[in-house]
Amino acid sequence: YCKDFNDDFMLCKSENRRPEYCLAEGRKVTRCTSDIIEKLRQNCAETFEKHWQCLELNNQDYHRCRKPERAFNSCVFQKLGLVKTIPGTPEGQVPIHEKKNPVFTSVQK
Amino acid sequence: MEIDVHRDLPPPGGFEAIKYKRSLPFRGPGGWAILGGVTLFCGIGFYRLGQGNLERRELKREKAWSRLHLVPMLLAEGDRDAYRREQAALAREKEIMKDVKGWEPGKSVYNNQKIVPRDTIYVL
Repeated sequence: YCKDFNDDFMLCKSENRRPEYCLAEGRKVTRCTSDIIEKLRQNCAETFEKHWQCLELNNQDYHRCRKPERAFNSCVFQKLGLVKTIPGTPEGQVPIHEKKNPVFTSVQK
Repeated sequence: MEIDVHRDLPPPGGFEAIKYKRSLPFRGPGGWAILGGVTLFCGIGFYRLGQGNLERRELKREKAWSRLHLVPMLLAEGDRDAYRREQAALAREKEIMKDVKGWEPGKSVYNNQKIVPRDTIYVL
């Protein structure tokens, strides 16, 4: 969603490390992120809350919270049309967040 | 004496023969069967281990990408904060040293102009 702004900011940063240099791009980045958080809260508040609470209780481990994550992802896809992709997965492999019967699950189901 | 009393006699037909020869028969699964069973279990275990390692790789990938996506926002916010604090510190320094001659506020004590961020930021 915010990929262009992030890329601009990081490229600007790679030119010059001083904070003063990249303030404008930084502002665009924060505006974009606050924008998407607003949209998420408006559209998918309960699933967002559940997923967030699950992560809070679980050391921010994704593999323990696949069920709320699935609900959240489907809600976001319906309402906003955004899909979660992990860019580096090898071709032909099911991405880890969509895999059925993963080896790593939470200890207590 | 014609009375029929109970006597301690051997049972009719005599006792069975006493076993005195050693008997250690070969029973149970053979050696190859045991090895095969162990190999089977170990194989299954290693297979699951390999799968788990691959999956752990994917999990690390997911974590790394999520961090990559979050970095610009955190960096932008931190930058703004650091810049503001730096300006405030500079202003304080100017204020304190304004009567001292020959002092350039914010001048580093090293001679090359490398940009080094401050190590400590005072949270006031």
